[in-house]
Amino acid sequence: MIELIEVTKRYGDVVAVHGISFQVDRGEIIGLVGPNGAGKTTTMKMITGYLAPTSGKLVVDGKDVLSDPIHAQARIGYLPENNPLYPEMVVQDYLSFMGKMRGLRGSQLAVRLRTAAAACDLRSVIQRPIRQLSKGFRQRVGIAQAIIHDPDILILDEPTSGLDPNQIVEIRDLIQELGRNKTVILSTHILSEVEETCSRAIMIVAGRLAVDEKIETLSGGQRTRLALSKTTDGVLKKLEGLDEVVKVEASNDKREFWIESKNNADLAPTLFALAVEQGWQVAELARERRSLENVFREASRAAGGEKS
Amino acid sequence: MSRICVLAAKEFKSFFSSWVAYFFILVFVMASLWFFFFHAEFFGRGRAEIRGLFEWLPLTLAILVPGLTMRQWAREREMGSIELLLTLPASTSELVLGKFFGCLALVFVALLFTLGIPITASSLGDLDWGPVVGGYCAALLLGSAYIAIGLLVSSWFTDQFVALITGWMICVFMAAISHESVLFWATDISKTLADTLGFVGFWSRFDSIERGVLDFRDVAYYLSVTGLFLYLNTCRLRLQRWA
Repeated sequence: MIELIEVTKRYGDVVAVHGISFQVDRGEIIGLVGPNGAGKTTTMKMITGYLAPTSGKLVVDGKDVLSDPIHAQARIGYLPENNPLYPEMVVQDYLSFMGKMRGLRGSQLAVRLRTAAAACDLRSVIQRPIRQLSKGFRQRVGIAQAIIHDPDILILDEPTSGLDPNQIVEIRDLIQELGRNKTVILSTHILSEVEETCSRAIMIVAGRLAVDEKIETLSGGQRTRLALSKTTDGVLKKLEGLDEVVKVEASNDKREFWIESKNNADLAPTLFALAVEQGWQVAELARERRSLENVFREASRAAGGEKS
Repeated sequence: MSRICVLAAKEFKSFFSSWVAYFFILVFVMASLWFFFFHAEFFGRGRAEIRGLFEWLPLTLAILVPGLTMRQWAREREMGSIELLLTLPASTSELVLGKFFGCLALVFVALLFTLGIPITASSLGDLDWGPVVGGYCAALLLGSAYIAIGLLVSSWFTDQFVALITGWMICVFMAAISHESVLFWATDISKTLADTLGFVGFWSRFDSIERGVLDFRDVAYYLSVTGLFLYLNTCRLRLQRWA
């Protein structure tokens, strides 16, 4: 659906994007992450045809974006950074304007407008001027505008920035819903958002591709955490003696243990049985995912970035 | 074609969602009335003609039109909505023409509001409608040229007021260089200078059209200036991709 081949973008002497290549298939939800100024927004602007790459090639739906931007732009719904809107316009007029600019007319436009407004839960504010809306509603107007023509591809630049936690959850659910039959690329600073919403994470650090992994693979390294209510001797030995166990880490006070198993097998039943047998006082027994945050911190450190 | 109309309609409407449209029409009509009744002393001359109505139009429009065009591209840039416009499946010329016709529609409406003047004049005496029709055509052509200049200026700036001031300077300059008094002074220096100013400037051409002499060359001149600036505007937008 979308393919970037060795794409580079230079602003004067500054290289914003440095030879990035990746491919996005139909139905994927890509989370684009990275430090501020890493090149996420520039990458998105190039996919939408707003910016031309200095070198390299971008292909959207089989056609080169540079030589045929209209082909790509007809298939893409785009929410730019900071969600620009016309504050003086009424929501309905704005959506209808964007729909008409995308070639929708008459009953088709009416149906699409109703669908988009319903999907973004805008029906209650449809007759209000945009300037009167809260930030959460404005964000929905921005997304509604992006889906008005039912595009195959959605490019959303920081769709949840500046929203409160409730609004973030709402927008995230909406994106997940839309992602069922669309290809989505979204950028964000919130790593948990990528974990929950996306099927794949792409990290850009200092204009270079640092991580490109499926979320399952990234958070695949699960481990089990065992916490005891008091320090007990010989626990480490017993744990290491178990068949399925690959590696055990213990906390300094010997009350917490992190156990990795072969093939990510679920150790909880075995551990529980062992604890009962040994008479350990278990405070907590839980499966933990390897946090994305650590993965990204390592990646950005390796690539020379400061923070993620 | 349809996208041009959609964008033009949106721009035209948005003039009315702020004071811009009302201010433009009000000032334009007031200025026309003043020039017609007081400056040109319509009643004092005792003849049913509307010469005074258009006499100062090149200056009035040069001052008013940049007020319409200043925000067109500058505001889109300032707010970032230019990114949405330029990523629509529309060509840059469709976008530029949409903006252009949106502004021209407002100038047209403002001109309609002054129709009361020739109608009054014709009720008082035998009005020759030839120069009236010529005058209105000339006003639209002149307005087109100013709009095209103003739009290009607006596309260069992010600050609307810088766009306004620059628009004023260019439009007033283009008009003033061929005003009678300037031409009179230029003739003293050299004939070539006066001829050049008369050719390039907007005022002298406007005078001749307004007199009812619709010369093909004058019409072609206004249209080519408009076309040239609109074309430069599309180049400016295409350049944006290579920022």
